[in-house]
Parts: sequence; C-alpha cells; structure tokens
Amino acid sequence: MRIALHIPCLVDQWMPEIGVSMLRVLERLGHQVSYNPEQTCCGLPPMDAGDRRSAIATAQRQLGVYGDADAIVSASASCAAMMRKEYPVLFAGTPSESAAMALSNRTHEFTHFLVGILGVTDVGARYEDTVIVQDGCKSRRCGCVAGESRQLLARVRGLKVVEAREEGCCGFGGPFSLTYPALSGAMGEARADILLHSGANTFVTNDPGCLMQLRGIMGRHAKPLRGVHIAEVLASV
Amino acid sequence: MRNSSNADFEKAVADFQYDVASAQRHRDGLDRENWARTEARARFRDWGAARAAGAAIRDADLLHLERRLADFAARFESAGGRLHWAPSAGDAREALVRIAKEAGVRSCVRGLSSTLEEIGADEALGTSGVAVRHSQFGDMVNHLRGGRPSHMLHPAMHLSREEVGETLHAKMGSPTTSNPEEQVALVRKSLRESFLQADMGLAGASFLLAEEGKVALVEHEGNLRLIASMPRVFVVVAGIEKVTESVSDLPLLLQLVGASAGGTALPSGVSLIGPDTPRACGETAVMHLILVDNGRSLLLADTASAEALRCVKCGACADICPVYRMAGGRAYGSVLPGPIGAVLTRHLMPARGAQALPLATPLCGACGDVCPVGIDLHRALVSQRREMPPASRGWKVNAMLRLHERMMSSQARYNRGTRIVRILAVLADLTRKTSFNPLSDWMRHRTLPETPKKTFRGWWKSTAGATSSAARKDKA
Ligand code: SF4
Repeated sequence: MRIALHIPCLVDQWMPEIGVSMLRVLERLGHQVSYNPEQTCCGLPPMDAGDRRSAIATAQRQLGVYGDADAIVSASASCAAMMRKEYPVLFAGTPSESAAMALSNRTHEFTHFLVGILGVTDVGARYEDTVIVQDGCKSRRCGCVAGESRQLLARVRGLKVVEAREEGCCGFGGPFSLTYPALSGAMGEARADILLHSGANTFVTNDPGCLMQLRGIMGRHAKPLRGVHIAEVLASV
Repeated sequence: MRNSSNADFEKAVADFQYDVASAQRHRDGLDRENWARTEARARFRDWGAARAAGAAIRDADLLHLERRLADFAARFESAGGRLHWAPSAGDAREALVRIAKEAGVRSCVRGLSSTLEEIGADEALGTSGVAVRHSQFGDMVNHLRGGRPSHMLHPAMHLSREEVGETLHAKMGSPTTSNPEEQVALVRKSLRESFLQADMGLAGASFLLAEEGKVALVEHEGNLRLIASMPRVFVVVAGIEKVTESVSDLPLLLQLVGASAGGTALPSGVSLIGPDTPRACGETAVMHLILVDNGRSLLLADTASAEALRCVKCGACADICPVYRMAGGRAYGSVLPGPIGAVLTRHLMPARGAQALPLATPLCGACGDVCPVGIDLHRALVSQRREMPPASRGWKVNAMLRLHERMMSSQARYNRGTRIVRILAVLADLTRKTSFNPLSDWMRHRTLPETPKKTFRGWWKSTAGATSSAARKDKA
C-alpha cells in the first residue's frame, strides 16, 4: 500500500523519533511510505479554541499535500480525529467538500490503521518492559474502538502490560491547558498519580499531546515514569 | 481583557480541592454512580442500539416540536388544564405568581427541577409571600443551608452526614443524628405535614406526552406523586423541549433514564398525570402547566448544538467528566453542572455567569460517550466556543492562534516559525520562575520537552537521497 505519513507539528519539532518509528514499522510490513514536508498543521488548535475561520484556513492546506496515497497515517489520535471526523463538517457546503471527504476517508490513526485496516496485530516487535496504556481520549473519535493498542502490545515479545484502576484523561486539551493551566495541571497530576502507582515502568500512548503533557508533569516528579509513543515500542526489535 | 471568569473557575476548583474530605466524598460518590451506570448499561441487550433509538425519538420530537406542542396543548386544555406560554424566564415567573395570587396560595411544596431553578421560582414566590418547601432531601438540606447544589440528582452530595445532621438540627430543631436513614425519617415526618397543608404543589416535568396531553413525572424519591395529588393547585413548569410524541415512546426513554440516572432498570417512580387524573385533594383541584421557551428556540436553530435539547437530565455526562470530578458541582455556578451545563446554562440562564464554561474542558469526549441519547457534547462544546467573544479565550490563546495561523500557512513560514519557537522554548525554560514569562503558570506544573537535534523533516530531507528504505535506515 502507498502510505503518506501525517507527522503533527509536535512530533516533527519535539519528538521526531515517533515519526521515524512509524516509518520503520510500516516499511517492515512491506509498504511504500512517503512524507511531504509541505504539510504543516491539521488545524486542531484553532478548531478546539473555537476559531473556525482559522481552522478552515489551516486545514485547507492539508487537503492538497497527500497526493494520491492509498492511506494517510497519523501519529496522533487527536489529529486523526480532526481529519476524519471534523473535516467533513468543517468543509460541508464549500467547494472543498469532496476533497475533505476524500481525505477524511483515507486518514487513519496509526494503531487503528495497523489493526483495523491492515488486520495486523503482530508487527514482529520485541521490547523488554512493563508498560501501561494511556491512549489519547480522542482515540474514540478517530475510529479506535477495539482496544487496538492493547491488541498490538499483547503481541510484543518481552513486554508486560498492566492495567490502571481506571481509564482517564491526562488533562492536556491543547488551548485548554493555556486558558486553565492550573486546572489542566491538576488533572495531569491526578492522572500521573494513577500511572505512577500502576506498577509500570513506562506509559505508552498513541497521542503526542498526552505524551507532552504527562512527560512534562512527570518531569516535575522525583521518580518519574517514562513515556513513549506506541510506534516506538512497535519499531523496536 | 482580564479573563476573570476563567480565573474564577480555577479558583473555585482550588477551593474545592482544598477541602480534602469533601473532594474525596465527591469522587467516591461519582465512582459509585458511574459504577452503577456501567452495570445497568451492561444489562441491556444492546446499549448502543437502545441509545440510538432514544436519540431518534428525541430528534423527531425536536424536529416536529411545533406540532407536538400544539397537540399537547389541545389535549391538555380540553381535559381542563390551564396552559401558560412563557417566552422568557420572566414570563414564567409572572405566570407562576399570577397563578398563586389568583388561587390565594400561601404555601407551596416543590420537587427537584432544574427548570424551576432556571426561571427563579423560589425567589418569585418568596417575594409574593408564598412559603416554599423543598421536598427532595438533598435539595431541602441545601436550601436550609442557603447553599448551592453540587450534583444534578444529589444536590447535597458534597456534604458529610454530620453536616447534614447539624443542618437538620439547627434549622428544623430535630435531634442531632449522623445516621442517613434516621435523617430521612425525620425529614419525611415533617414533610408529611407540608404535603397536607400546602396550597400549591410545584414540579418540573420529565416528559410531556403530546398524544395524551399528560405530564410524565420521573423521580428517584417518592414525593412527586404527593406534590401532584395533595395540594389543591398543581403547577408544572417545563421547557418546550420536553414534549414527546406519545406514551409508546416512554418505555425506552424511561429505561435509558433509569440506567443513566440511578443505574437502575427503571426510575424508582414514574407518574403520568393529566388535568383529569383523579387526585387526592378532590374535584376542585386545578392543574397548570407553564411552558418555557427562554432561549430554547434559538438554541434549536443552532445546528451544531441543537441536539443538546435531547437531554433527559440524567447527570451521566457530568459524573464521568474529569473536570467535574476535579471541580465539584458548585464551581459551575449553575444547577446544571458538567458538560451539558456548560452548553445549556449560557443559553437558558445567561445571567448566572457560566459564559466561559465551554472553555473549561480538555474536550476528552467522555461525556458524549455515556450520554443515553447520544448527544455529541464534544461538538456542542466546540460550537459554543465559536459563539463566544474571542476575548474570553484569554490573550495567550489568542496570541497563539494568530501566530499559529501565520506559521502554518506555508512551508517556508513553518520552517522559520518553528526555528523561532525552539529559541523561545529555551528562553521560556530559563525564565520559567519569573512573572514576565507568560508561560510561567503553565510551566509550574510541567517541564517543556527536550529539543531534539533534528526535526523529523530535517531527518527526512537528509535521508531523502536514499531511495531504498534500507539505505535510509542506515543513515538514521
Ligand atoms: S447530556 Fe446526556 S448524559 Fe448529560 S444529562 Fe443530558 S442526557 Fe444525561
């Protein structure tokens, strides 16, 4: 399959290893992977902040940068949810409606793409660690409905997965963390606390936003838990 | 603009968390409620199908709202009921006071209802010299203390048993007890007299049945039936969106409400009451219905948020919300807390603050996932944000948005912009403890990510010459 990578700005600038890992996994599975540096941002921050005009202006760019790839695979559940679920509504009734629909239908979050589209759960990875899943809340809005991360991690050699006492949000929420820095921070602390007491050494996520928030929060702790993107686990052999 | 409303909310959250025991009680309460709901949903043969059917019923009701209301009005009036249309909350208050005056009402006993709070029924009756008694236990305790509700269904959930006992002792002169059963028994005894003596019973409605012209009262205590049948005047105040086609829709709607409100197969009490329903107080009894619009028609015209009017006020979205968990109900300053409160309050009760509430969520979407009538609260919240004055987001977000839009508009700008951001990040980290760093409160809780040597696009460019993936791997 010809796959175009969607590398969110957060990954491009601060966590490039996630993009490299995704590329490794997809190529290992025999796919032809491309990346177009013309891509910038999916438009989620202005969308979430309620600035529809700016969201459309930014998202418009996305419509033209993926060529005729069979699938667009995103390193972020939040961005994938934006492109899959919001683009069709955002562009409804505009000349870009059909282009937005076409993009929406081809866009997949990384774990959902592997499990739901390719039907793969064993990507041949090995990773010696005890981990806990902290997927992005937007996973539920981007098509992850079958515990894709857990299915994938269950087939990683050397890996032990523990469960938290409950699922929960890391409190990031993009613009929310700027408007309500203390509240967002307190929510992050509460989540970090649950992860820290889970018995895991590492938390694994499919969303760079959660990764930044929780890594940041853990960074103020004496004995932080490590955080990685699931692509990094799956790329390791 | 100084963003006082956002700061107010954060302060209310901090205050709530400061009372560690109360915050813990709140969380324990939510855990209990959510657990009961999870079990109740699991008992459905197909929860997804049931909520989709519930959503379809409510959507059809909203689509045919005018016809349903006309049908309802015709049946209700021909059965002898008196109907009062109230375009605004003020009109509803006026109607209520007029009814009370004309019937010579001196005392009133009322049920738990967000619509009664919305129109300000207590104040209106109070200033007209009508004594108001609250019948729902937690609602009554709050009322006695002069405190605000913390939960849609359990308005005094933030109080300890001891606090409840002290309130009952101080305000009702009852013996001090911290045993909840004894407390309920005490209150019940004194309420019985109110039911006998009150001239007027006052309640909200869960549904209005268009074909039957009857009102469906749903409750989790046993008092609404008494409110409806004992006093000589019975007044129901309901939003126009409460109308549903007929009694044949009720079984499903009630199952959804039962599971999502109390975690039970059905709500513990349901009464269908029309003007001609025989009542304990005898033939002279009159039934009034005040139908309130108060912003609902406007909300209905907003396509992204209209479905919020499907709401059956079960409270599930609030209980699952991580912000509500952290904030407690009273921080919202509304009888409708949580995500649905953030959407509805600004339309129905704009004077009660709450204008900034749609911003107070990370948009995790947990609310919409549990809503028994499938309201996409995520989308409704975002749409509320769109309607808000840009200044309410705060200058930091607005500055970020302007920079962001420019930076993301071309590859060259992106490259230049991100280089600057990387430098700013280093500066921000160095100055994080100083007040002129606009990110200082953000960074109090978080470290910034470390700056990697190469960006992804930089890495890609440096490996792009390698055509095979194997060669690219070697260069990595
Ligand atoms: S929005 Fe949905 S979940 Fe929330 S109270 Fe209304 S019906 Fe219940």
